[in-house]
Amino acid sequence: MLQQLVDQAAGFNLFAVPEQTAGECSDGATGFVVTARLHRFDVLLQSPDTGKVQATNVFGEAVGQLNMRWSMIPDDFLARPDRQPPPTKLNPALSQRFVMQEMTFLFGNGEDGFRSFGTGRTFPMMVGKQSRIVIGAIGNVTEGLGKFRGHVGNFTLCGDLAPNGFQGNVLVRFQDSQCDLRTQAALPPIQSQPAPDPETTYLLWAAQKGLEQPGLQNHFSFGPDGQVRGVDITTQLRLLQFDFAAPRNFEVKNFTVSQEIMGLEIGFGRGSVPNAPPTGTPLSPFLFEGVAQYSLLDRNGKTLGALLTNVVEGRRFDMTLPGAPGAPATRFGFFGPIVYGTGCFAGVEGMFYGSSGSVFYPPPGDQIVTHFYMARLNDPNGKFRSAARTGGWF
Amino acid sequence: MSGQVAPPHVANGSLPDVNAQTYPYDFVQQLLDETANFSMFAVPVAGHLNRASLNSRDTADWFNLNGGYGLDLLSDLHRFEVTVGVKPGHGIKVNQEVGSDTGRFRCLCLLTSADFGWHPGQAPPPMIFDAWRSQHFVAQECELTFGNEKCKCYGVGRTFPLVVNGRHVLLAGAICNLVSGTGKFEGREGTLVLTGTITPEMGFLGNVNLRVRDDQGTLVTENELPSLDAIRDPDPSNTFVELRLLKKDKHVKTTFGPPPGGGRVSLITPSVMRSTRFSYVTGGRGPRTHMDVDQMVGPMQATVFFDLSAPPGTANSPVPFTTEEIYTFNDSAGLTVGTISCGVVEGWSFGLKFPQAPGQLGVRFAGFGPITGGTGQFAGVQGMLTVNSLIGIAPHALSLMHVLHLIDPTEKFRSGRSREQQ
Repeated sequence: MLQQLVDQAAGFNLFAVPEQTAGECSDGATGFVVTARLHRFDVLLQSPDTGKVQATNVFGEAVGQLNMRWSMIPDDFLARPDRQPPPTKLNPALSQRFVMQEMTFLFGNGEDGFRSFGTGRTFPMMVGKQSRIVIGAIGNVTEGLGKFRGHVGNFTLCGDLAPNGFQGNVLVRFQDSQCDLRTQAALPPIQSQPAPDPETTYLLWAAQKGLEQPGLQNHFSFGPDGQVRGVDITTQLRLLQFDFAAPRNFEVKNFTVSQEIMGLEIGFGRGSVPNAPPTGTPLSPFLFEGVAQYSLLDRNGKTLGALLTNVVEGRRFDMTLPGAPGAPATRFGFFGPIVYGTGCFAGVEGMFYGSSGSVFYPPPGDQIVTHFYMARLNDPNGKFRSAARTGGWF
Repeated sequence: MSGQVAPPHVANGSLPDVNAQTYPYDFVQQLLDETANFSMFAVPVAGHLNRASLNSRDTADWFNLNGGYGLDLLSDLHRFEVTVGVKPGHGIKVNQEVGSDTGRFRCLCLLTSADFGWHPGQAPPPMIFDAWRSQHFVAQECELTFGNEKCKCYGVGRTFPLVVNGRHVLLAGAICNLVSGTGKFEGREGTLVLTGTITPEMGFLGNVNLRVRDDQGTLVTENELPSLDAIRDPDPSNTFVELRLLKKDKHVKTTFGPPPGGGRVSLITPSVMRSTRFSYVTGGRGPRTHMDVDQMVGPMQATVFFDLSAPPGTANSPVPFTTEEIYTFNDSAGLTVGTISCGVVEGWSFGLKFPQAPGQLGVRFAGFGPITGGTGQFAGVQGMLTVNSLIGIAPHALSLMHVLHLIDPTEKFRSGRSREQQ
């Protein structure tokens, strides 16, 4: 029952393409006021039966607009919507923090959308022969517009800070306990367009708890002093599919999670700030971090490859599930670099991020969770990109 | 680095005379050079990533996933010999050869907070690995193995992220103290430094230098060692300018500079750099080392900052120091081809005594830091400095082994011979 309540949620993927032509987001700039077109973006992991891990990435038609006001910030700046950061220059050679003071998403005819606030970080990376400022960021919805009014939600974005603005993916999760965001109606098919970034490939999957094998249940991790230092968590990885459209108004389908297990997560997480209060609010989210290994399996259970990723920034917000008001429910976003890969992922570079909903009881209690996980791989040769949109598991 | 002890000739309220000769300068220089120098190159062991763990005894605790809160490094140790030439019209050219595999280097690097300091036996507060931030780490379970002979060390280090031609590169530097040893390393004092690259496969690729006191002369030999058979260069994008530094002669004085504040003093130490081939072998007769000192390649001036009032450093409580250094490379015609500015940002010193000269005080110390600038041939250079040193106090004789690790993707600092080996 709790799993169903957590999954009363809408998930969807957007792809932002900057509209400006001027080089506003360049070396030395302190802030950016830019806009982007929002596009449908379908990511579908293919059956690993072939011994490969590949996904189709379909870049679709424009569905809305994104207005952004971002500022670079010092590492120790406590960002809040009501705080103006000190001028801080963008340095493409450094990993820096930034604040997304305004992020307004408008869909279709502009009636539906949401405003948000958040923070992120830059990561200088080479993709193919091109040096890029890759970014990861987490946003929290501060105001829903139209259909989104009254909904709590958060998103994690990952892409590039290009000279003319942000280009990349926005992975969105809204709680939808009243089921008024989601529709049962058929959506218009995605209108595929040339990919704006053929050198990166996105892999999407879900993670949920299952019938854990002995030793793989959540358990505390103890430091050498015998004190709890965090929680060891495992999940099962499953295929995930989103669909939404915004011909006039925003419409989103239920996300679907496969029955079949396509991988395993083992990981460790903890709060980032020692002795911080456990609560997470829109003004003061709970900060967390951790390490996780995602192993993707073929149908015989053989590991095709594994990614080791670190969450360097996680932001958790408490929420209330109407059907279980006393349950410790949370929604959260996180991102971090891929540290290394093995097997088919050997040598891979990129980012890993997600948006999730959960009810968490400390071990040996249960955890109910559905993660929307995304790996953004630097993939100039298209090793992980499936050209055809056939052969999926759905 | 003379401040850990109170040398003679200290007038009330004044700074000590570090140049006084408790024993003759040349004798102290000889004592300092009774040190075995192991210049090694670490090459990651293929396949280790699949077995690496921060605690192989508790792999059910996923805190121990390698790459999360630490790095489990395992490298083969190879012979490594460097000669440096500075020729008119050509500037500096480094011949750098990596030889046969002689042992293993394992180091468990636990990421921790910047203020943890030096605490052997204590578990450091963990920090998540972030390759885009400069982070401190503790080098625990740091071990060098040469056949049946082992050196166990403890130390600290830092990572240094850089962008080189648009590509993200993570360097690491560390300084470790020899804690215990077996075989010829039993009961020795020694210091290890390293500088290199954390590879995408989470390995350590780079230079490891170990200096071990050898009063008995069982490690150091005056005889030439078998020549190195160079293997294919495992790291053509990095050049390591490995040098011996000492005072030009016994008349060169060390002076105190303006105090930097915080109760510390500064000591201005002029020296000269000499191209030196540090050789070692392992095998049937155990490890042996030899040093061939060659041409002078220019002056180096270091300003060392430390706490004069601190007691002599020990294995459990060494004394911290930092430096600011400028290396000036001159060709044989005396023309400067370029300078490199850098400094030790993390350095630790240990008191040193000499059985043959009971009244003589000394210090062994080591550290690392990033290159901060360059001129001439070194304009725009990036990289690291390591220092691995022994000095006397009164007289202030020097026996320094420094490495300038230059990021060199176009091999502009390599000699033709070095390049041919790739």
